[in-house]
Amino acid sequence: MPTLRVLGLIALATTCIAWTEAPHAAEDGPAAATSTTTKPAPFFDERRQTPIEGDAHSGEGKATVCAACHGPKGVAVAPNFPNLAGQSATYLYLQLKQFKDGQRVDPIMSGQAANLGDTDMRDLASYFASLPPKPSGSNESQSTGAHLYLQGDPARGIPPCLACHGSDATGVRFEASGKPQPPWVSFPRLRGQSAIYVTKALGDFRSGVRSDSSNARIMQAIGGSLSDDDIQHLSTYLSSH
Amino acid sequence: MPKQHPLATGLVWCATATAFALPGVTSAQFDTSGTQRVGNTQFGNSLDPTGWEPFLMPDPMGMSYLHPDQLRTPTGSLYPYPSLAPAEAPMGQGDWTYHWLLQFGYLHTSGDRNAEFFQQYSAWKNAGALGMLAFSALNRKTGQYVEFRGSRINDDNQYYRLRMGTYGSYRVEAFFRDIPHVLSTDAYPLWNGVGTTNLTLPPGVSPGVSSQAQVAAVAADRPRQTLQVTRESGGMSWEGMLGRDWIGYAGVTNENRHGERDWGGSMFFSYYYTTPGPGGPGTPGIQGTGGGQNETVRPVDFTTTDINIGLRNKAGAAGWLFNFTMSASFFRDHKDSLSFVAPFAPLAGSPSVITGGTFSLEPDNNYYNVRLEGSHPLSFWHGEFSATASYGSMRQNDALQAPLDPAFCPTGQFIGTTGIACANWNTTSALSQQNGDARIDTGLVNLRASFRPTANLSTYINFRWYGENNMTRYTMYNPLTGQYGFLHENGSQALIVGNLQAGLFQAGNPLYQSYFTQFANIPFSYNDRQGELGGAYQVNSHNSLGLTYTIDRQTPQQRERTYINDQHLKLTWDSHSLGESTLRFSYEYQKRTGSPYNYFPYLPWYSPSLPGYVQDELGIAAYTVSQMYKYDMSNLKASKLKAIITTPLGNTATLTTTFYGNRNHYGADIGRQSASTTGADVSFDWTPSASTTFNGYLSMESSRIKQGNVADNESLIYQSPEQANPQFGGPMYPYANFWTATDTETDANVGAAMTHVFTPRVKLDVSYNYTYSRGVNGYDYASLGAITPAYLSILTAASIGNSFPANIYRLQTLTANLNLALTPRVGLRLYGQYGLGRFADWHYTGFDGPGDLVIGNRVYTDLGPQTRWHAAVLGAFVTLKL
Amino acid sequence: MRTFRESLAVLWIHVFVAVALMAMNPAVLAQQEPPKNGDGAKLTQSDIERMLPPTDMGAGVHAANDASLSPASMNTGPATPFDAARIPVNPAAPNAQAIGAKTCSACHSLEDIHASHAIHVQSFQVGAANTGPQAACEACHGPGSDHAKNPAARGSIIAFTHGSASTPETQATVCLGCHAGGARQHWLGSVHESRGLSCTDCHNPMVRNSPEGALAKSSINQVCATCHQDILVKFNRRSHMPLPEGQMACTDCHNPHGSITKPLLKTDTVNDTCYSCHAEKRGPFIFEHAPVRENCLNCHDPHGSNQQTLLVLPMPMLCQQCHTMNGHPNDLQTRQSMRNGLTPDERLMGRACVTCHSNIHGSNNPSGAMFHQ
Repeated sequence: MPTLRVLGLIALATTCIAWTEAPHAAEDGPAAATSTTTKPAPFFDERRQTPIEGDAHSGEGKATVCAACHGPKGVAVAPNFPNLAGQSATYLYLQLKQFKDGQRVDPIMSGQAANLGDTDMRDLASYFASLPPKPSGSNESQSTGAHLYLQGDPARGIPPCLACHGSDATGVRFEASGKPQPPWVSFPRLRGQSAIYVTKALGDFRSGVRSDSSNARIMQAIGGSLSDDDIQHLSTYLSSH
Repeated sequence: MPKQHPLATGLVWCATATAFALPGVTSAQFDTSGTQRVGNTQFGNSLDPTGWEPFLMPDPMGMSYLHPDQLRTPTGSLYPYPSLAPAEAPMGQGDWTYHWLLQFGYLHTSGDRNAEFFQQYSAWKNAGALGMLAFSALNRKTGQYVEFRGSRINDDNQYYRLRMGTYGSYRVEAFFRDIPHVLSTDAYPLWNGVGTTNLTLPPGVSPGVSSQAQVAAVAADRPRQTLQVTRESGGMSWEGMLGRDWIGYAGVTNENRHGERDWGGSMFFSYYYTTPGPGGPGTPGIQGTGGGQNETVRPVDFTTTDINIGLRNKAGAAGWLFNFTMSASFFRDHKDSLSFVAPFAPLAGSPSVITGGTFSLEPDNNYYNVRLEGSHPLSFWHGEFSATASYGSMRQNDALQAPLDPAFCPTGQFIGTTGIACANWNTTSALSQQNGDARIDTGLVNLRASFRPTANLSTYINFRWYGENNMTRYTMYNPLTGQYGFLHENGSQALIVGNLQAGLFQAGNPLYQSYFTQFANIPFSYNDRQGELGGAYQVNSHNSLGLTYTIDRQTPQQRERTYINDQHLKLTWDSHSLGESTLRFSYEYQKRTGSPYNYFPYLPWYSPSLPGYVQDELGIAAYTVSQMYKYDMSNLKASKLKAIITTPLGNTATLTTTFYGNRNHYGADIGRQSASTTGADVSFDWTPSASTTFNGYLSMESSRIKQGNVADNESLIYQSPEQANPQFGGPMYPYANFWTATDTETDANVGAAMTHVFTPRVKLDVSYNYTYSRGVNGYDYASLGAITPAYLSILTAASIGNSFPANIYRLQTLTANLNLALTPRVGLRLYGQYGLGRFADWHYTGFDGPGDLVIGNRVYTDLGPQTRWHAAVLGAFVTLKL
Repeated sequence: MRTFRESLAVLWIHVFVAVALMAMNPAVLAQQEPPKNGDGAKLTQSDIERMLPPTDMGAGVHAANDASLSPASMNTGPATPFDAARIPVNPAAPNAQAIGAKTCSACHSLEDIHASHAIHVQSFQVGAANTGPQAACEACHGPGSDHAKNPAARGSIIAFTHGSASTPETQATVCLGCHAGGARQHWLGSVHESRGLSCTDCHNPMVRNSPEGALAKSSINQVCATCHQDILVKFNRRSHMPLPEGQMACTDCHNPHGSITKPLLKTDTVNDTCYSCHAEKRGPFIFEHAPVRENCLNCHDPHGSNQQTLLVLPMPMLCQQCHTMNGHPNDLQTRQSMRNGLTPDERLMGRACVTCHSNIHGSNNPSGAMFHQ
């Protein structure tokens, strides 16, 4: 019987501690404070992402709205919008999904994606991926941006971008090896993207605005090493390239 | 020898070492060598065998943002997912950060909570418990750190462990721990004074005058006791830089072992006196009233202090990798004797002066060892030369006891009708020397040269010499009487058998001049030289073959063979050619031969070697059968095989399969004939995600040991000169008395363990283990001549049968652990373990209750482990952390 | 039985209380969001602080393989032991150059967080804090520039995992570069070395999953059982040393890094190992029992047995393998010698032989030549 009493006391003590702890935690925890207003979207894990399949043909039919900003052929009407033509379908699909689910937030895209079903997103992604990418310019390799992209800057902890985005910034496609490896198909093509958009994207990664997916986490850490100048140089290189 | 306090000695050594070492701390790369020292490398308990459970909360994010799943070890096993790093906080204004965790609660046992196998190393009690107290602090600028963890189930089962130091320059460790070992929970010692050196009889029992029934009645009423030994130890060690490439280390541990355990006490055979029962053959015999066996309880009260101090070099400019270690161990037994009053008179009918017995428990001893190791690269074939030399000495010089205890053979009395005066044997004046003066020195030299002449080939040659020299010399000589030999079993043998087997030899005394007895200790010593040549060849990128030949030549002194040659040939194959699997295969063949086998090499230590020995006209009864071979000395052909296959399955599972077996054939009919083992294991690990892990395993093993023996023809002893014939098949050891015994054991283990982290922060571990062992001891015999002659008119072939009932050990254990995080700082842990056991051991068959503890002149203490039990321990804990 | 039911009831009360507590308290639920780097959380300030410090490799990339790189010249802080850590040569990428830990952790940020909580990388951080980490990641993995440009190229850094293009020797050489001597004095030619094991088969310096030893699993015993499961299950038998109970580890007796005493024992002989904990058996005694002094394994199986006290056979059979002497030792003992048999016999019941020969490990009694006393 004393056993029962002691166990009961422990249960009681636990309850008390938990109750008194809780308000304290709520007071000094900023995360908890925000959680009462907007519930953060769950982390999006892209690590198991396999290449998506979609119907480009039916995607074309659903792309009318997109053309308003991203252009009828996936080449944006203004440099603040990204070019989608020739982009990795898997990447596009994942971004649409994250707009819809809230890991990425954009005044326009969040609303647009909210109405899309999974098939729509796959079809749209496939459609834009099937379009010919924006023709690239000269293949220079001497600029500061080119050097950053191709060599990185070990002195400042900047890895070369080409490892994941390809030596020509069109993305890399490695053979599956049967071992754990990065979801290569989810890494975007950067070549021919507008400087303004690249600057915004890198800025978002650096500031943590885009950090709620496994890929964004990688870019967040890389972004942390980039200065404003670096971002400028890279944007210039990627857009002219 | 004066008793020095071992701890004091230890502290002086340690302080000296530290004083010598600390000022020298400078910078260089430093690392530790925990696996160099014996013992205390693991701190955990039954609640948490890893000692790390509260920190094993896997990070749901995994190891990398870059890829899913975990990578594998080079062999192919999955690395577990990393644990979530505990939350840290800055400490003060400096660069220190810290975290802590406290888990406390209550443990409750139920069911057959006294079951021996439930309590064995846990000593569960209903009591408050400390699941874990952990504290850790780190200065990320200077690399100073402090880590502490401790856990306490109760007084007898707890550990506390402190590590602190500075990365790269030194580390200090300290620990304190108690480890329980419950040896019996069903003990009913007849004696009072359990735990002391004097066991006395309880009221109602008087030596020599109580009947078996009276003693049995008292024994049946004795209180149940638990016999347990607890090791309580503490220690400190230091390891640190003493200069560039030089690392010093020193440590001291002190252990107190205390408790009690089953022991014995012999007052001559009882079985001799068994007589046929009224029902004739095949019905129970009648126990006699002679002799006596006393299963007493001995105290354990030991202190051991170990000290080690050393210095090593990490191969600086000189290129020598040095390691020099000095260690010493001081063992002190605070209760170095045990005496007991025997309830029964060894000789029925007449009051006896031999009313009890005495033991010398283990003497205090000191041990010293120095070891020097060095290795140096060779200038050719990428070689390395390595040499080790070690010298050790074990010493003991305890005061010796008198041959007989004056309490049980008082001065003025004589042993029975022998005329042997107690006064001549109950003081230390009856000894040839007053102290043990025992010493064994050991030496070891190991030389090795390793080469890698090409990238694909590695070879080595190793030579090892080890020698053991027993310098102890003790002669059983009584200067008071001029007699050699000893009075067996506290004098009871002389009391019962009389001067014919008093155990004494005396030249010129017709009573004793022909008695065959050992009169001096046998200082067993030996040398062992071993040469080994080995190599591995990388056949291709997936396969490697290895071959090793070893010749091991032992030259024992004072043993049945003057030399033994053991040859081993070992073949290994390591392969990655089976898909992703890794195979490690080995086969070893061993052959042992040696000099002619002398079944009785001990004559120099027996009375026939003494001057004045008069050969009896009947000769000396053959000590043993000449065809017997002791299995450590006999010829042997053995083979051993093992294969371990590690198979990755996808990216989340691993299958590990093991096959093994060995076959040993000893060249003996009498003695161990053969031993074999065959087994297989399968283990399946599955980690579908960071939050779920599963392991399932199955292990099977069967083993068999067969031996042969031959009962001597006891009717010849002291009756016929044929008693001296040692030949198997001769009159003394006839074929008809040959028998064999076979021990066949089967073991099966099945189990599964699962861990799952539910969101948010609910972690459940469940494991189930099933162990089943079954051992059958069978026997076969040429004729009933193999059994004890006194039983010939009681037992029949039908009643003997051909085996004992099976020995069984079955245990099912279900363990569950539920961790609930109530807030980030407060959690709840619920622990439950349920055990269901079954046990059978024919040693304890028929010992069903305290009323069964006395049979004939034998008094037992222990009923043995419980045959069927189930018990549970439940715990509830609150976890608080930073 | 009644208490058993009682405690079950108490257990359920606890579960109920806990669940109710969680269900009733929204603040608690809000707090259930993982504290860091879990779902939804960004890298927190403390995560970032715990990550490897920034590098300052600008001037140093070509000095990557130069162990003499003087720490003092780079900073005025006190020199720490890891400043001079050598970056190993990767035979598969001879031209690669060091890129510094920060570059590595840009992509491997989660690895960085875990490694930064493990003693191995923590100690490098300390070196880096004062002088710049030419060490850290590349002190083990070799120079990283090739890998950074082409991460999928096998062998571009020294990998320590399954299918690594780096040979076990290359891997071990890295580790032994610092961890030379001591417990590893006899690694070369040891059974684990010659059978192709790598340090990372047992150790994982990238995480802290074990209290000590940077182990690949949470305890030494689990690590050893990865291959030696047959040995671990023997500890489930009736008599065993307290290893499953967490009080002992394989490494209390064995040094997996190699030794000169088979099988990987730390001392000169088997018996020396046993005496380390069973010092009372060390003696020496005036009367020795030959097989006892020769080798404890003659009678005991240290990994577990189905007999009492780790014996390889039940007594009296154990003893009768050698004791065939005339008189009482060489009689066949049958099932009728059991307590409930027709001829109960002290040579078999209970502790059998050692009921009388109690001091079987050696006696210091002048009447103890037969270990009776």
